Amino acid sequence: MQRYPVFASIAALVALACAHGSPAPAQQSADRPGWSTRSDSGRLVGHLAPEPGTVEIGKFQTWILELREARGAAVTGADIAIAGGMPGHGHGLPSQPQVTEEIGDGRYRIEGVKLNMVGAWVIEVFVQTAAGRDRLRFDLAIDY
Amino acid sequence: MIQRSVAEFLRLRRPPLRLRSPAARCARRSAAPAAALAAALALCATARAGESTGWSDRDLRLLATLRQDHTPPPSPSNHVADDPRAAALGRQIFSDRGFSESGATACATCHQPARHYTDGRARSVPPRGRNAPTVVGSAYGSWFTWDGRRDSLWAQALVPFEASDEIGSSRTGVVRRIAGDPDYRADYEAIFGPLPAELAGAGLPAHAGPLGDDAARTAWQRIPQSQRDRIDRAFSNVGKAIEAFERTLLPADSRFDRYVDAVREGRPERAVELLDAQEVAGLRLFIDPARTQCLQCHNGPQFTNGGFHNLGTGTFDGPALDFGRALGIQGVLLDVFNCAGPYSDARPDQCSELRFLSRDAHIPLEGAFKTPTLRDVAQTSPYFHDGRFASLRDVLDYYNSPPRDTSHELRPLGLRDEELGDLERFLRALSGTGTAP
Repeated sequence: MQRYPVFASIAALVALACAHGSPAPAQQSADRPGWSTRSDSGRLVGHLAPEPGTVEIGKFQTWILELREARGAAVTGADIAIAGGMPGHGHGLPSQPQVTEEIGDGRYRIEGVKLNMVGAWVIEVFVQTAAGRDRLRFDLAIDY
Repeated sequence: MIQRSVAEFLRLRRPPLRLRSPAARCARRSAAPAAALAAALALCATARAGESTGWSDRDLRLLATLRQDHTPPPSPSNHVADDPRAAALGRQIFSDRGFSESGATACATCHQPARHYTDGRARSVPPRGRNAPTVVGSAYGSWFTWDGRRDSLWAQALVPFEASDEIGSSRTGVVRRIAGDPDYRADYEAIFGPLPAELAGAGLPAHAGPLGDDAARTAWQRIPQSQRDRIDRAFSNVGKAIEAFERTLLPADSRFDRYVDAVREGRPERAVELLDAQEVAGLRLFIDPARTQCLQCHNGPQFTNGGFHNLGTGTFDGPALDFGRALGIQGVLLDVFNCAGPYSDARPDQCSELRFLSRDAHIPLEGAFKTPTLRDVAQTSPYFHDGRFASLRDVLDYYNSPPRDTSHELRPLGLRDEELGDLERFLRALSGTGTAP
């Protein structure tokens, strides 16, 4: 089965950005596989990545979410819900991923992720902690 | 910053596919600054394409994802899924009209081997029965029936036995036939162990089950719970034997598969023998996200993402009422034969589809139906869940100009007449000969 590294689209994005003089999507992590984003409130920083390091279309995968406060402290004991879909196509996620374990140091295991096509996916992470509710939106560009 | 990340990625990342590609090898050798890297990548890809058959590296990666490997995933809820003895028993049951109380119907009535395991009818049982999909390649699926109300082939295979307008038997009727026929019984017991004595005797009602007509349901209520459980166990085993047979029906390689091999091996002279210019033009359209959306749903080696999509074909009133996936979700959750149920052989963690089932109410699943395979699609007309389209061209015309007055996931494609012709030619090249050996 063909695999799709998380970085699969980086080269294409760079080429595109150069060709069109426009910035590449900012959410792909610069220094490690996966995607990084800041929460709506700005208080949290999240990193999301498939555990195997690559996205495999049509297969269930476990992904790892890392949550930190903006100043770097790990976010522990959070209640987390996952949503998302492809807004450009008018459909949601084909499965309902769930946080199944808090690994520690702000890291959470998310099981049941299945992306069933390439393209522009959105993964929303809803977080509730003692400090309140927040949301992180990850924009994923998956390509062959 | 992003450019630097590419350079770092190419230098530091462990390898995989991307770095094995000529483009990446080129990039890795390049000592040029990051700004030049993107250009190098693009150039490498173009050079590679020019060398062989006009496909870019990305295209070649994409084409490789469509080539089938004849290896269906395991079926953890069925411990005899790959047992040849079970397949042999399932093959017999599949064609045996003796299970039907009328003596007229078997699985093979709607899934006819000579018609690529379809029946050629728009609806197998009008007005509400749906189009009979092919069984060939069903082993690759996760959800069964057009709305996915069953989560295994064996659970699906049980449904028609209890439907009075399909095979028209009953849960006890099926078990009695297995128990009462010495050959069936011997084959069954060799695979699943002895049938409980109470199922083998004459005490079992001829027509009883929880899903059948009034008479069947009334008779079922009179059966003690412990005995019902043993009936359900034997009934589920019949489904598991049928699944074992159905898993042997795999699509044969098509000219398209051999074409992919040829282009990936860099053999243009062989490739042109396999797909002609029109078929290749159709393939290019098929995989071009700017021109068509085919690959969004019809992806992977079986040309289906296994998902449920709203194409504006749901029916929300009248005798042909059909909400599609919205009700299929409820159906599979209620099914005693689902992956998490007492008759499943799977561990709970092997039931990923059920465990992570999307039940989100705001996802537009009303009127969504399962994406069918496109393998051998020329042999499986008519098309869609209700057989509303007689020909592939009708289907393509619908995608080209989807209705404007209903909600769906489609956008108009604006393809020219000859482009639609090319797409149809390509789809016809997805046929193999019969089923895989």
